[in-house]
Amino acid sequence: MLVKLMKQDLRATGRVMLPLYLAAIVLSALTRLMNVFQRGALDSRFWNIFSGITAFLVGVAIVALVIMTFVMMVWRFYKNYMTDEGYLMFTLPVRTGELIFSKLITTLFWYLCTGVVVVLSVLILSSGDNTSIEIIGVGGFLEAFTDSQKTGAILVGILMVLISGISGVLQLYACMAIGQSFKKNKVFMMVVFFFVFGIATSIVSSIFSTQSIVGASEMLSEAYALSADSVYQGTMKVLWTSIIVQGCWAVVYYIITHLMLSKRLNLQ
Amino acid sequence: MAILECRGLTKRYGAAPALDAVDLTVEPGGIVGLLGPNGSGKTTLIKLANGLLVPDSGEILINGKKPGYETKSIVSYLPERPYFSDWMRTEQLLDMFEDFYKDFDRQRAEEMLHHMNIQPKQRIKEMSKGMREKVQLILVMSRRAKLYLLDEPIGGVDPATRDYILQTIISNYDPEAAVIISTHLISDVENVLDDVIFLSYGHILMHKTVDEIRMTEGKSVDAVFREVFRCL
Repeated sequence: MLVKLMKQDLRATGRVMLPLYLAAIVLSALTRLMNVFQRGALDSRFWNIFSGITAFLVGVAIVALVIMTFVMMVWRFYKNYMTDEGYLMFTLPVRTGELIFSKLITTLFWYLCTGVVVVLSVLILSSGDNTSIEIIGVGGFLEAFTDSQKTGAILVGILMVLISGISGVLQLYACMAIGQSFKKNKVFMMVVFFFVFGIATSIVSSIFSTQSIVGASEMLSEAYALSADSVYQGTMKVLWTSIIVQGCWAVVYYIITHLMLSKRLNLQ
Repeated sequence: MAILECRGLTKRYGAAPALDAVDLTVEPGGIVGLLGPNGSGKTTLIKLANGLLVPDSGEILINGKKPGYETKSIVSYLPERPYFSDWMRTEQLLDMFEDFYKDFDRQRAEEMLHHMNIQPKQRIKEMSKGMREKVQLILVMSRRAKLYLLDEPIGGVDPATRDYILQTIISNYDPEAAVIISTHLISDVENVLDDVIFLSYGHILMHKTVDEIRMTEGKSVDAVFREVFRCL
């Protein structure tokens, strides 16, 4: 049933996201073409204006993409589960966990797609230049690492981004799931819990992050030198601490969302 | 076994109870009218049976089980308001029902939609209110469910559409299933009902068969309803 739910979610969100992706890529390609024409054009003033407009539109499209992905994520969960559409979704013979995971996986899929399209747009805009590599590069500090250390740091870094993303999405779901259980002022309570969870997450996460950074600093000072190995170990410690903390938050927010939607559903 | 059973079922919105310690048993095989004025608790009872609301106290059982994963596959629910996404096409709704409900008879639904001249490619947002309600009812009644919960299926539609909706209900439900129709338009549904339940301010005032009412009271259900609720 999870696959069937995801099919519905992808169909509903794809009709908004896919045209945006297409617009971003086409505008990037147009801007790049303008730049090529501009170099050999006699009337460079016209091309300057034209390429300026298309470059601006590319910027707008990319920002719109990132914002739309976030808005779609929140809106789809709210509209599909908390409004009249919820009468259908919560009477389907599916489990509450499947309803949550369907939205979560679909959201992560679109985040991934948005990331790919943004990188693709940047690559198209700067094709032939070296700027793209600098923009999407992972930072100069990795250069000191050995190849296996680089791979390890990048993989753990990706895992951290993924877990943080999951935790962030589930946090929003938990706010909405709690808010809907109130008899009055549901949307207001969703916003209240957004701030409550935001503050709680920041406080706990910063305590653990500070401890891991302090630990990493001690490790470095004990090594008496900024060797590649000590920097690598310190980086990994910070990354793994963040993964564990965010992973715990993800579990907590999932349990809250599941409990509220299965035991405290209130679709008045 | 009763298809629907309530024991001391209570649900409050604020201070006033929408349902107050309701005890009710509905057996399979018949069409039951859940009748009462606006705000009597009809929609609340149906939502509780679907698990869309949680009781404050007491319990509600569908085929002996609390509303949940197992009961949802045997209950076909028509809410009082349209619940489809308006961007969806009719054929996408058919796909969806076929995907999720094993008891969905697609062929029957397609025949009824064709009869109503509703095109497979037509989007919900391109339809009138009455047409949307018909599509929703056709999909709900094309399931071979054990319990149909129809909340105000004829509210807000013209008399011709009402006739079509009632005809669709009568000709599509399995005689071994139970159909509960919530409405305050008694005279329109009276002829299709086997049993009636009068609900007022969260209490059950009466639960009798239609024949019993006609024999004991010597009046139509509509006349008895008007008499009972005039005094309240």
